[in-house]
Amino acid sequence: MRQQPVNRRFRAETFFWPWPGFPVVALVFLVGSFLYVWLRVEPLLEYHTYGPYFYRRRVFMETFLGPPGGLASYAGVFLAQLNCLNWLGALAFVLSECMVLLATLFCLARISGRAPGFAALVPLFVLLLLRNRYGCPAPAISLGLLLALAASAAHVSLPWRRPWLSMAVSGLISGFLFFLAGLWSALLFAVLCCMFVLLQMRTWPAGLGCLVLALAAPLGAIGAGNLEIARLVNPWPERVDWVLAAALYVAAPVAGAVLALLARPAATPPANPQPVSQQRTAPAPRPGPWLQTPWLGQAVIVLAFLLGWSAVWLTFDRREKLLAEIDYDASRGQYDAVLAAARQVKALNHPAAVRVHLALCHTGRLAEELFSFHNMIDDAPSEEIEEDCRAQSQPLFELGLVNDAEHMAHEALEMEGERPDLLRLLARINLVKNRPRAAQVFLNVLSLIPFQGEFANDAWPTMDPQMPTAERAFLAGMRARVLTNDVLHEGLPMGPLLEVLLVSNPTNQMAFEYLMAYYLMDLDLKKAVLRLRLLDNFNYARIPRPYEEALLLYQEVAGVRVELKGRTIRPETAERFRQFKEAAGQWSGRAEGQAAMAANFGDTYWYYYAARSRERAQEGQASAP
Amino acid sequence: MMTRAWMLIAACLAGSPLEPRAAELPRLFPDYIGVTLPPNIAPLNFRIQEPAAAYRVELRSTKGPPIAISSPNPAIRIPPKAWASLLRANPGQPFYWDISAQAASSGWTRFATVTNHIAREEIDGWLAYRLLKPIFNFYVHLGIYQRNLESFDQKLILGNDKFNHACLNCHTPLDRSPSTFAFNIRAYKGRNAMILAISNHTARVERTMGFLAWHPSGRLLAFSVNKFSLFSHTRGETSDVYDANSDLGIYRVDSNTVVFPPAIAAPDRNETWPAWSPDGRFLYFSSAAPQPPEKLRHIRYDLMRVSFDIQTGQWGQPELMISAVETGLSACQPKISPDGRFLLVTLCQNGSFPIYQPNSDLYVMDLATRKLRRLEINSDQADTWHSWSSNSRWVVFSSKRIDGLLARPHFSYVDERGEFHKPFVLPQEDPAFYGFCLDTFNVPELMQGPVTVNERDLAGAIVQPRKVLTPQGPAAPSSPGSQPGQGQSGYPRARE
Repeated sequence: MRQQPVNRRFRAETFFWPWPGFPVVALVFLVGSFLYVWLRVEPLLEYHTYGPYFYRRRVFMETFLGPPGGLASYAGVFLAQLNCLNWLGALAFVLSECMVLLATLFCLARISGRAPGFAALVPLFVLLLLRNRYGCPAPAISLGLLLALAASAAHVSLPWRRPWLSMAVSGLISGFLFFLAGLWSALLFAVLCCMFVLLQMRTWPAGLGCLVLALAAPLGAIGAGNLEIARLVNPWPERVDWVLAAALYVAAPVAGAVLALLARPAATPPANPQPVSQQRTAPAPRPGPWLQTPWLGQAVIVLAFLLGWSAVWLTFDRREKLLAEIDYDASRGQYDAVLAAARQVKALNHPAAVRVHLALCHTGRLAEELFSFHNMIDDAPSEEIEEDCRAQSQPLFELGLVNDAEHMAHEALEMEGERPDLLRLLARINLVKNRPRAAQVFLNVLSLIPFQGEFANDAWPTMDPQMPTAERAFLAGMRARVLTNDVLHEGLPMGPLLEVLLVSNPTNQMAFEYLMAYYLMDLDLKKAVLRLRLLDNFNYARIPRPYEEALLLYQEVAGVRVELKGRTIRPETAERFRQFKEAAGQWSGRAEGQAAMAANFGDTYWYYYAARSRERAQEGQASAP
Repeated sequence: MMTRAWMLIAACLAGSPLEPRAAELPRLFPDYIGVTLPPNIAPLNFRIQEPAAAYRVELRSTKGPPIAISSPNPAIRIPPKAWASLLRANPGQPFYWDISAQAASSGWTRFATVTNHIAREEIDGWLAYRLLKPIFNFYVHLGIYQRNLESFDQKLILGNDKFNHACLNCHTPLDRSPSTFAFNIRAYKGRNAMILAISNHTARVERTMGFLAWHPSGRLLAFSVNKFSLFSHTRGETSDVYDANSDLGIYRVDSNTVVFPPAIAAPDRNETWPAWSPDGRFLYFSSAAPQPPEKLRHIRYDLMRVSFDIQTGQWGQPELMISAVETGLSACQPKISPDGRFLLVTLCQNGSFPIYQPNSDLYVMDLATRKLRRLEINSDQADTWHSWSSNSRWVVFSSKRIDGLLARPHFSYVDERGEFHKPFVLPQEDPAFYGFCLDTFNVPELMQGPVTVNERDLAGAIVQPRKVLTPQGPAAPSSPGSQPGQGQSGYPRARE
């Protein structure tokens, strides 16, 4: 029919009013979101560190079927697998933003009776803020939001004649949404329906009835005793800012209420244009160009836009990203990248420190540059026990402490779940321990995760799982390095274990460098110096600088001269030690001396030794009665 | 993912075409060749480990129509109803499996017929076990589950997510009864306790207890008090457990009292692993002299028993049943068959935690002759955590024989002569199940029915118990500083 194209275009322009500014801004926003998530957030890093991982098994799906919102969470976990590629994860996120935007526009327009305009962008900003936080299940949260908005859009688009019928259907859909996507989705839907019935159908009892009916399913679930109220109200994991997530769901109703209560400006076209009669050819009212909007309104919108993006940019935790980058690069064996990322972090956490040490070892720099990073390390006890276990399992394995690597990896498996990197490591460990069938189990589980590229051998279980030649060579090398003595121990006494490793295999250079690092970091100068006799087992052209520094310090502190058997300390190291002693004497007891010493000697073992000694003395005083 | 096999059930075989026969038996996983099955077990679904384009399987016995299955992939899922009918029609009969495979380039090859056996005696219909990861100090996910052995239904009895991810262990039913059982919880808000369920009524007992053993009367529980530390090896099996101090005590359910009789709580011995004889007249237990942790490899437990009169409460003198010196091994986990004929025990190289030792083996002692022998059904991996069926004809035990890391429940038939038949692993609906399961099956216990106390009530007994019992009685002699209900050092830690 002739008027339909007119109405459809008009409706499009109405929803995207002020036209064409709003669509342009929305497009810019979406493109900006894509680039931001792709290049700054980098979903791949988040995916590696925090998952979540999806397993193509029925038992995995069944874990989601019980609690309300489980299905949306399940779908969200599936969508999160797209984060294995940065651009793909960004694209998925932006597509969800786009759908949220469209649904929000439609809902708000129908509810408020006016074009929502830039108010519809508010939920998108909140989504971006949530996306900023690594570990936040953004796909699941946006899916829950989208379901609620889409259901609302569908509901309010129907030509309801009877408010009570709308209320009843709303109640049913709320219940369905509760089980599908959780309490917040159901309530959002109910609130939007309530507003529609109140504002457009002008029936407040039916409107309130929408809210009341929406509570039926949650109350029923609580009454059945299967749910905790706290879990119902805050179904999100710890890493999610509960207030922000709540704000996401509250944004649309608040915007709708504000739009409904605001006075309609003269240039604002009606959201529901009346059909034009076939006999009349009166032109459809067109929205005024947005450039004619009062400058104050424009300024507010621009300011809000800039503030929103500033908030998104500034609330991004760059340190967290760098730590995730260290984790990811270490798992890929990209050790130069590990070190490059570590240099940008002011305070590494313990798992990152472990990875940095491993990266230094692999790049041949552990002996020389051990303390070039150490001044940045936060010595507080590790709070990330699970990640700590995972981080330690790899170097333990490479050292030849296969059982301890296995122990740490299993602890991490228990606490962090069946992660790809852990599954791969445990497969390797079991192959080294001549348990190929156990190794195959880990590889089989790995094959359940999309995009991991490992597939179970069709002839499983077999005594000889297929593996690439390089992997076979690596494992053969590992078997040669494995500790052959049985040392019974409690906990992880690294010093004694590394000693035993070296006795068992004096050419294990990694064990030597780790042992030296252990003694130096533990301020045990005597043991460190004693182990220098093992330098001849390895191809060191000269004594590594930190070892020279420890030697000089030991000689100074113990008042002895150590025989170096043909090796010498470099004159520049000796000179620098002289300067260090002089500066230490000069700045002793002065607060501003700390900064000066750090600036001049922060990369030396002497500085580390002095700082740690002070800390230990303070701890000793603090714990003394 | 495995696709479902296409299955065809034939009323009878109207004479199959002649096919070349292989002299060998087919390779099956799980290994269901030459086993004896109870007539009430769920279908033993399996994978044929012979590369081929198509497979045919025919299951037949003396009576009843055979089951014929054709499948384009090696995963064979046997229709449950047909399976159940065939088994129930043929107790005590041989059970033949004819397996054929068609290679892409050649015709059908029929393997040598697999001959299994259907026992006359049924097995108890339910199995309870704990599922957890195999090597751990921290724990997050633990659960006690029950499995209907006649189907594939598995249900959660209690998961630790209901009480702050604390530890739960040592589920022990009274004489395989699902309505009376006990288990321990650890490190729930810093406290250890035992949960009692008697006729489905629950109570929390504020006392730290270890391994449990119900007296057949149900009036008292023998329990151990241990001081465990987890150790690691650098070679061989990773984990090990050192028990610094242990004693046995008796908790009287009727009077809510605890005693530590000197006969089972000697100050110069570590006693653990209690087990009652079916008539309740003897308590069996492991006993060793305390040693420091560096001598863990030298700690070997004797197996003792002591008489007990429940009417008078009198204890006899401990009697040596299995000598560690004579065997050179450590005896743990004694379990007496319900008919009182046999003592089943695990012997391992040292210590009291055999699941962590590949050399752990099952031994059986004929209590009439006191003759001890190593069972032929052992593997080169840990075989332990055994439990008898109520008719003494079946034994279930945890074995790491499949891959050396993850323990799976295995069943063995014990015939009238006391011979243990080749064991078979707990069947699963998905033949590939064990290839994807990273949990270890711990403490399998046969039960005569399902636990009907719901999870909410069990969790409530921990979190908000309606009934709390604080037993009267002394602390364990080996732990003078311990108070009832408080945590002991050395237990695995909960991840808060």
